Amino acid sequence: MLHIDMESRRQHGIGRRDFVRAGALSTFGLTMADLLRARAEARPNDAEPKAKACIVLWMSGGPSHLDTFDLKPDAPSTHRGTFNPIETNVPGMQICEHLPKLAQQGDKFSILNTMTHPSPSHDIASHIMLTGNVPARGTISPSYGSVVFREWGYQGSLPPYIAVPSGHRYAAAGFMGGTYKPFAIGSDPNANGFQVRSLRLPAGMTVDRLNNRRKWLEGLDSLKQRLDGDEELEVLDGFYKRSYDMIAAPEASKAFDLSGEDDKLRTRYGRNTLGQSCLLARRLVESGVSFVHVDRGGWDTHSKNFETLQNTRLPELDQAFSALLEDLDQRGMLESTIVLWMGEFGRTPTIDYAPRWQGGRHHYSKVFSSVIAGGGFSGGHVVGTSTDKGEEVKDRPVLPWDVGASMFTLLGIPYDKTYVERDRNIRLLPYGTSVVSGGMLKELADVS
Amino acid sequence: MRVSRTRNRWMLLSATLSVTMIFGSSRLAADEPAATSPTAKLQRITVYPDKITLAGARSLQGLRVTGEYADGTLRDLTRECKYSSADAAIAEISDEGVIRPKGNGDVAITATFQDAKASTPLTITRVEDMSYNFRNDVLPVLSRWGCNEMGCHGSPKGKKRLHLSLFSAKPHMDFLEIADRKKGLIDPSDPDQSLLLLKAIGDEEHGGGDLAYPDTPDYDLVADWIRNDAPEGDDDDSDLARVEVFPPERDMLPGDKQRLLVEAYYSDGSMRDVTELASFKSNEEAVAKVNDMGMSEGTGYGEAVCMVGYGTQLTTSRVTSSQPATVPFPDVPFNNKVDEMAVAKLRALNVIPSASCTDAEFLRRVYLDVIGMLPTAEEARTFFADTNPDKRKHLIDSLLQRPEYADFYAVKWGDVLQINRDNPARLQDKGMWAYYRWLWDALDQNMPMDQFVHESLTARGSGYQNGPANLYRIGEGPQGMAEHVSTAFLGVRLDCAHCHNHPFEQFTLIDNLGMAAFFTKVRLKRTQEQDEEVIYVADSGSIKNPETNQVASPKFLGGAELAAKEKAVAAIADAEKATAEKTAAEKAAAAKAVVSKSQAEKAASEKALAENAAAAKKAIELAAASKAAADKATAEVAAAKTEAEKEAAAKIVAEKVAAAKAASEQASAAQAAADKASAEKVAAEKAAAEQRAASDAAVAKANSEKAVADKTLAAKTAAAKAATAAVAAVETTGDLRVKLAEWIASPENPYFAKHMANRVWTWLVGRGIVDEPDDFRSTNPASNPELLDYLANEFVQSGYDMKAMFRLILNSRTYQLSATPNQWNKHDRIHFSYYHLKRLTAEQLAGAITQVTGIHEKYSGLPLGTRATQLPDVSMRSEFLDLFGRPKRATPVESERTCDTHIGQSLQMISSEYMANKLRDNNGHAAKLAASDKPAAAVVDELYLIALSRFPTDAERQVILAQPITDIQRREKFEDLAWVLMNTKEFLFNH
Repeated sequence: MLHIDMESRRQHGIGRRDFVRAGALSTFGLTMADLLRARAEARPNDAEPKAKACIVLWMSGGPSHLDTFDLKPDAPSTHRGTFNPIETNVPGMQICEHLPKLAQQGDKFSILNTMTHPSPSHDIASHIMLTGNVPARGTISPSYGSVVFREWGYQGSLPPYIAVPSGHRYAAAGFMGGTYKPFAIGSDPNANGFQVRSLRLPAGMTVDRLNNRRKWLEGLDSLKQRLDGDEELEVLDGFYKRSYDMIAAPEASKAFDLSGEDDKLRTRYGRNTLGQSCLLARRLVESGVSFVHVDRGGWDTHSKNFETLQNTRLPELDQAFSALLEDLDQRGMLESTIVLWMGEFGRTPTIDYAPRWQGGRHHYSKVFSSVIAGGGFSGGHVVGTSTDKGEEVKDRPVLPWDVGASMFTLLGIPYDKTYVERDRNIRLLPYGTSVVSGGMLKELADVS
Repeated sequence: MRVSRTRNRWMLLSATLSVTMIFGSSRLAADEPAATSPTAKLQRITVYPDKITLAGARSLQGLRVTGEYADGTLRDLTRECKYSSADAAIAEISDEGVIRPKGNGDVAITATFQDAKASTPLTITRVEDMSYNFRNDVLPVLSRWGCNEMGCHGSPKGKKRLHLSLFSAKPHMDFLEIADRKKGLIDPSDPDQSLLLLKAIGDEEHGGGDLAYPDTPDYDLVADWIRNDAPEGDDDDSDLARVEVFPPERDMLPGDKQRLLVEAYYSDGSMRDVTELASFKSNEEAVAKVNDMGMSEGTGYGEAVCMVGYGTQLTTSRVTSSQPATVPFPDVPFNNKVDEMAVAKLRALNVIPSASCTDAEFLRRVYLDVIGMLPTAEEARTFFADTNPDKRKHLIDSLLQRPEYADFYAVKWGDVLQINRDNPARLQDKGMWAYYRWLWDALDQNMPMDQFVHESLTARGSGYQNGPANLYRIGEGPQGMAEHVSTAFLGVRLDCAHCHNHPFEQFTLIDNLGMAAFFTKVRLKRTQEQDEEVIYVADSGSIKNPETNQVASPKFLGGAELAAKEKAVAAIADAEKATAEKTAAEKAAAAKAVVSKSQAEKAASEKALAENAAAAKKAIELAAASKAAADKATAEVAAAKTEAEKEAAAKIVAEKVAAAKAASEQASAAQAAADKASAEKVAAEKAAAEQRAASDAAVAKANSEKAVADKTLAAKTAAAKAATAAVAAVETTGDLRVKLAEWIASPENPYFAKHMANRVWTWLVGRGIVDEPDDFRSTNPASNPELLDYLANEFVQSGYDMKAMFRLILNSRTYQLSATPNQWNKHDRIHFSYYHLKRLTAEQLAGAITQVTGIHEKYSGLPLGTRATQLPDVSMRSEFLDLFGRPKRATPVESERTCDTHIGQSLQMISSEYMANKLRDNNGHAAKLAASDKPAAAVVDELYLIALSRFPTDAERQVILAQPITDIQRREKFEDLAWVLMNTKEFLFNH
């Protein structure tokens, strides 16, 4: 359904932003009539952005680049680790042997092996990677998803930016405020009988009774009346209105209902949190959600790096990521959906065998890997080369804002847009100013 | 082009700048006419600086002329004055008030405005000295142009043909890079054709854009340096020590202008005007903006700070703009000195504070802020019924004594100390419990904070046994430990300085490594028990500065190096010894005086006693004689035969009895006097004894203090010697953490007391005087420095007593202000003119829901009835707590805990099973109240008291009871009402 919808949108040449403008006008439950009206009003020459949605797979903790996408089999044993590279289905493109299924999807994704930024601290690095900005003291930047939310607005009753299963401190709205924060579902999609609680009325509660409560509440919410005009209270009121609408709209809870998915497909994604989160991400994008943040921690492998990766992280990543790419592709959604796999940094090329660490790798941001696919980014490429031991950028550095600017360009959002926060102009990304940059990902997409 | 270039640079640098000072929408429109000339009469003009010394041919000095008007306003007249030099052969002065030397000698410079004149004396020396110093003269210009930033030639790999160190970290390398003739960057025979300058002005293609223009001071300086053969200067040349700005603060109105003057001071004491080479930035452009040339201009009301940077140094100039007074400032009552300080600021800005909050608001607020819970209905009733005018004070005292205080603040401190059994802290069950229990006890017993820091920092042993030792299991490596400790105990974030220096950031890599050097000998060792780690201090250990490859010396943050400090300590100890000796002598003399005084008093009282005793004796004798006479008379009466005799005798008897009675009374009085005198004697003796003891003790104490001083001096001298020697060799023996702990919790520490006081302020008032409370730095100034200084001083005076700080703030009227703003303070966000709304924290809210519904949440592994504020760490699974912003404790920064609102929360409150199950539980309040025989109106009162800590208003009662609640509906309606009350903003926020 949605696929057809996207297709027809493309044919009619309706701009995403025009569509959104319509969506923003009606509070909820955009009807086909609204959509058609929006289309009719669309300017014919408004270029259609290539990407219509984005899924970030956030590997919190910082995955080791040398043990995932940038293996160095010829490096000394102090560096190379215990894993071997394997060929993908693209000749010459190699990844870790513990990602065999993903290797079969090599033509769908590209590897960025020269990611680099200045901070090996989780906090700063997460901010940099999730927002494309170096953190400013006192001002937290909005994450990519919040920018898309603000630019496109609601597309229906579902929040346009959803975090699965939970959010992250910087997968948030920063100075844009709580309005543009992702809706974090807060429960594990792999759990038995998973549903996003609160989207349906609890057992025994009726719509009438809720409406009565709501009416009472409106008459009794005296602090709101006393502090008339308080911004924070206004915003909260907005959330309450959205919530009532979402509870009333059946399509919202349907979008989260994984029981509607084929059992085989569910298994293909992996019966674990990451797998089912990825499946849910696809389902949400299909239902019109613009941006999904999938959060999977446990990559901070200071100790027992190899055991942890081989036993848990890599097998589940292999299944989930490969299934997601395959599934999106088969449904014709990959070309309009950006998938970005990343953590806050990589890990030290030298392995720490001290007893405390037992073969661990620590934080490292001088060079590391991310993976990007879909939405206009072509697959099957490796961008940039690190030095022989994976310690430095050898050629073609990729800065986080290079990735951000490329994504925004494909999403049709100008990366140099400025927002006004408390009388101060804040630029969306530092890309294009005097910051160090390797340039946008022209190797992979039509961006300039 | 230049403007946009600068803007870009600031954007990049915004990595290090604050946007904290907000005083928003009162900004005037951009086309507002500039302020007209003051209508008041000009009193006089003054010239800054009031004395000038210039050295060297290239020195220059700008003047600032300030007009002082009869109404007290100050106005910058620099551009409107006429200037003259008494001897143009010695100095010239331009129309803009810039002096340039022409010859050696003394001369007076005079500024004239209308009828007013002011002069300043000027001395010029070494006018023949044309020397340059690359580091002090040229590098700041390159920094100003932004050449050495990360995005340009300062990137680790450099760019194109020029590789500079990031933000001037390595001046010598930079010099070699630029001055190397083979590179062809400079051409002394034709400086204007130097590639360096052609690129800078954009005549040669340059990726960094146009940075400079010919015939500007910065361009000319670099060109002249090249013309003079591009010298590096002497190693001995002085270093930049600090910068100052004139005026450091100024009252301005929208449209007022002030040219700032930036002075660089060097290690040899010399000073230079670097205004034209400095960078400027306002932190609040809605109040004041400042341009590239240091011209600041008022744009609205409130306070702003202009940050001024030159080389690696920073300073600030504060602009205050009071909004027009539409009504006289009211006479605001003060509860204590906190209010005096807070209101002084409000008065200066004409911001009128809100009214005091009601008793009900105070009750709920102080319960939530001190123990993290709502008052029970019973507690609320008791408080409302209490008529004692000091009942707020008494409530504060009693809440601070409750164990729930330790529960609630163990959560706050747990955030700061990152206590967690799982990732990222990895303390494991046993380590987490050991740490938590130590923390809880410390809070419950109100351990002085200097001791708290000392126990934390010097902890050793197993993290499973010794709670605070877990501090060292959290930060990774010496730098990680230094960053953790600096944020937790000093409120300073050092993580930005982890890798390299940042411009416009006070703290540098040197600071980071200097603190890290205290931890280089800390080791963690595994034991046979699973994941147990023992913390011990090794004999050696060091950390190298990656930029210089030199071993870093221990250096106190914002203070001296350890070695230097030890020397200073020895000197201070000398002085202390002298003082102690003097004090001891004085005390001994005073004690002696006391002794002699008490002896004199004793003698006097003994004399009085003797006199009184004699009088008493005499009176008693007289009384005895009178009694004998009376007895005799009585006997005579008995013997009388006739009536007449009887009458006569009776008369005589009566007379004699009266005489006896009088004598007896006199005797009693005399006895009483004697008793009193005797008691006084005892008291006098006791006092004398006490005074003697006290004076003995004073003498002994003075002696022992002297002994301690002597001992301390000896110890300090020895330590100083040892430290000096050891630091030189870096392999310092002993546990350097002890030094650090002593320094952190000492009054000389520039951060500790302020930071602690400010944290408490933030917790209670909802916004820091420095905000956020763990972000102290010169570019994030306090919104009320006097208030912060006062609190910090009180904290030190109290012996670092946390509960005393709570008491001081909680009792202030400032804390007890209403949350409702008025028309004068509604734009204030930073000066505490009303109470800031705070959404309940995750744990507060979970507990409050339990209180309203009567149903506990079960946390696995802990007994039913454990409240969320009693959870020892954040590893307990709870979707609810996560939704409402419980942090992962991945950082020591408090803002990791969020109290914002989002749609997940409203859904949770509206329709979650979590809420529904508690509301409809058969053992819950709604069920019990429904089953009770209380009338509906009483139940409504009860639910209001439990949830909102107040009675409903008549209007609210009417809304609720508009339709009578039938018996059948009771349960459902009470559940609904509980739901409604918990979804009011009054419930969700502390107000």
